[in-house]
Amino acid sequence: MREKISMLMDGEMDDEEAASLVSRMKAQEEDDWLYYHMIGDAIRDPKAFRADIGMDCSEAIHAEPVVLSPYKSHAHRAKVYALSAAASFAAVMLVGWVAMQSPSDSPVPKRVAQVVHLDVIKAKLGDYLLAHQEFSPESETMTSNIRTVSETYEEPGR
Amino acid sequence: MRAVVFLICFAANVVYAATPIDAQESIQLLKKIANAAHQVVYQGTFVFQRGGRIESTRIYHFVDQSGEHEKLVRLDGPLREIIFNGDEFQFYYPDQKSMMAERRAVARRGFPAILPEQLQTLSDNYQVEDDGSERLAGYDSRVLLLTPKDGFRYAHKLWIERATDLLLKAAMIGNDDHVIEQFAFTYIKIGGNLDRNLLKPTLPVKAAALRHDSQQGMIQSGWEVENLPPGFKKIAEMKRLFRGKSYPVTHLVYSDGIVAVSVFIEPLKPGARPMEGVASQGAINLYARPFEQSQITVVGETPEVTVKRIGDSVVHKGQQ
Repeated sequence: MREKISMLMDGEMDDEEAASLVSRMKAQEEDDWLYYHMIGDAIRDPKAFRADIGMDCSEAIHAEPVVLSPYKSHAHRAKVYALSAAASFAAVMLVGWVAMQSPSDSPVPKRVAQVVHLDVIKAKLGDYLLAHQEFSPESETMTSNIRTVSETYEEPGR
Repeated sequence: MRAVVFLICFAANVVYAATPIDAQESIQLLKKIANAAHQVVYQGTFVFQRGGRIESTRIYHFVDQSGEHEKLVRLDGPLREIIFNGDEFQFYYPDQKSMMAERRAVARRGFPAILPEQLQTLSDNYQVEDDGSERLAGYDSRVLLLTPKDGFRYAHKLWIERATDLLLKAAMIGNDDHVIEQFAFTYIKIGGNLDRNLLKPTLPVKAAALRHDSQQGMIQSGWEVENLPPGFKKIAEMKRLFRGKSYPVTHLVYSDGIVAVSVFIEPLKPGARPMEGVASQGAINLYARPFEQSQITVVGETPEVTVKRIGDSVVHKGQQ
């Protein structure tokens, strides 16, 4: 199989054979194709190869939740872990909210928080936000309903 | 020396072109903005930015004898539509084949939309300044800056269309001039005729329609906030029902004239795990804590310190 993939990459295979190999690869070893090309690229042009990895890494770093604030106190940390460990809906909800907290003065490490499902929160607190919005003079002064829309875009709740 | 300081101040003033506006004029201006938001016919596209997230929405706003009609169509992500007809609003989720209809707890308060008592506190809490002119979405706008006098609220910057007083852009600004969230029209057509068909849902959902009315009445709940931040006054107190909750929730609302903070109080079921902590989403801060046999949840477009101070001083007095 590997030999054949190598042949295909080097253009040493006729169309019929190539088609059957591609369909077999699709069925089982799709990733191999990528790996083989990566290896080939690395051998032929190490510079370009490094550049690609760099890009992937920086993307990955961006995607990675960053611990933006240090632990302030052990007591607080213990509480947050306790919350995230608890299976209760309420606990999940609150920690999720913490995930959206601004980094400014949060004693909670973001990494912990981002694990939790944010959608769950919206479904539960969306109604409270909506109810709140009805009374906010801001929503009267602002072009009406703009924030209401944002709060309720996500899910119909239950 | 004093003269030099004065000169520097004067020069800075010229550079920023920010001139203070007195309380009476500020109030009139905000009333005009509120009126325009309800009375002007317009259609356009605005972007709403919160944290790293930006989303675009199309808006149609129409006014006739029967009142205000408005449709908002989300342009990014799954299609969402919200249609307002007077006090009723309907949310459409076409991909989930569902919709939700609700009635506002309070009827839209007619014109002017802002209660005078809410506005009176304005000058106590904010310094209002004229911040020059800016062209936005093709229109000339007047820029208004509301700077808070303490740490219990954010600064607000408003871009007001000169001819109609319609708000074209608004930003909430935290300490260190950081924009917490903002909305801005990228395109707007003010006035003219609007095709009424535009106000209908694009994909009406008939199946799985859910009707829900949040019934409530104004009450004296016995719940109070003992240590309100300066400038906040109670503007509403009621019991209301929410989806998925079999018991009524007490809802108290406090306002400083520009923003509001809501306090929700509900019974804690025996054995239920209470919520406790602070969290935020854009300008909205949330604080939850248990109090005796109740769960207290505070929500407001204010800094964390404000929702926390309010939440921490909620007490129950007298009979419920």
